[in-house]
Amino acid sequence: MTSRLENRYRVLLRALPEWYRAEREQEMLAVWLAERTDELDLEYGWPGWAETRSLLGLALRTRLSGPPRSAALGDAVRLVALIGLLVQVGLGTAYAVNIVLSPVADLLALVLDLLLAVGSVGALASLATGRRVQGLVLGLVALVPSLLGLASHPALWAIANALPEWATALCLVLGYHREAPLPKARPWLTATALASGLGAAWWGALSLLPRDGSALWVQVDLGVAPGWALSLAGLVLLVRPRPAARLAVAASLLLLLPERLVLLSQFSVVLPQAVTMAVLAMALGVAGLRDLRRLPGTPPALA
Amino acid sequence: MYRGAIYTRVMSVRGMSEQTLLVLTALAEQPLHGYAIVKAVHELSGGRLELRVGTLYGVLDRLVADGWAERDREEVHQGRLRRYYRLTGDGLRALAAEVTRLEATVRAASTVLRAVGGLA
Repeated sequence: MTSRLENRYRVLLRALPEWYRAEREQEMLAVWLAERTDELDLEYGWPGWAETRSLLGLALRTRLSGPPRSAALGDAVRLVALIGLLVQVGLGTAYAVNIVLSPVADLLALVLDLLLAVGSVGALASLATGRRVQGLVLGLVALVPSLLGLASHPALWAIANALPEWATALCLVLGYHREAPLPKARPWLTATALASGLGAAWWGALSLLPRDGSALWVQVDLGVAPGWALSLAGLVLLVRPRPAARLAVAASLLLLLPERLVLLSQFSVVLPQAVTMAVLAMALGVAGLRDLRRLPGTPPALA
Repeated sequence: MYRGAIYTRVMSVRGMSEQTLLVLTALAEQPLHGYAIVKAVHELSGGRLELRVGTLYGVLDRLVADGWAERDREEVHQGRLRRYYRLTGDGLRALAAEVTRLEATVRAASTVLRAVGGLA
């Protein structure tokens, strides 16, 4: 008869993909239960925290790498993290330049914006040069300004602004596990330098305009740039079937959308961009999921 | 080998993890099943390392994907499946290469320690 402890282990095993469970469930149970033979333990015992943590780690790795479908999903998660970091590089640099050019010196704001920019540049550069743990730590450091901002202004717009940064950090931690492939150095370092340069140039040019909250200002506001850049990438991906890229751009557009919608409540001029982003996100999401379903969900050896 | 190729490249640059090294060492002696590998790694590490099931099968998946280990046989013991794994020729060579690398590192560290009088 199956013990309660075994049932509890079987529940834990459900974190693993079905194909993996079919292959390994019995032998994993055999290892777990080899030394747990005490009657009371079999009735009232539970899987330990260390075992649970270790199995959840394995579940994450098998769900985001391995067979083509899981690998594509993992690539999408990692791409969302990289796109998010690039957006942070651009925005962080632009905010910092804005403060430097501003007549009123706000040292704390400058430090926080530099933290966002430098943390994100550092995370991208570290990942692209093979320093995974350093990349994760710097990626989390870049989250600090967002956390502080949310703590001091827990308003809807602050949450909408913070959402992409939280999602970026989450995708970074989930996607870049110990065995995940790291991004190629040259294209991502180039993209990082470009995002930083564009952020600085964008705000340098805008600083010539009066910041009066007018409709003109909103049209050229910083949030516009990543939205249109991703929309452009989305248009290209509509005709080029790349499942991971489609899903990643769809998710990134959806993450940037709430900030646009909050702005829309005050400035109708944002409407065309918000609609474009929403439509593209939906189209890419549907196409990406369809692509994903077509990929084999089990490794070639087990198919 | 979709994942194996990436992992092999990473390991050749950074060296292998202690868990992988000890699992390879355990399998070098004879084919073992999961629980026996856990016990062997515990002994080989002087009781320092307790291999969890998630970690063990993560390591085994990579070794099999890289062609360093393969399935040997299956047995049923007290109503439970025991699947044995054995080292391949490539696995043995990878273990030997890692041991050579570690020996060179230990030699270099020992030389420095002797020079500063930290090692008899």
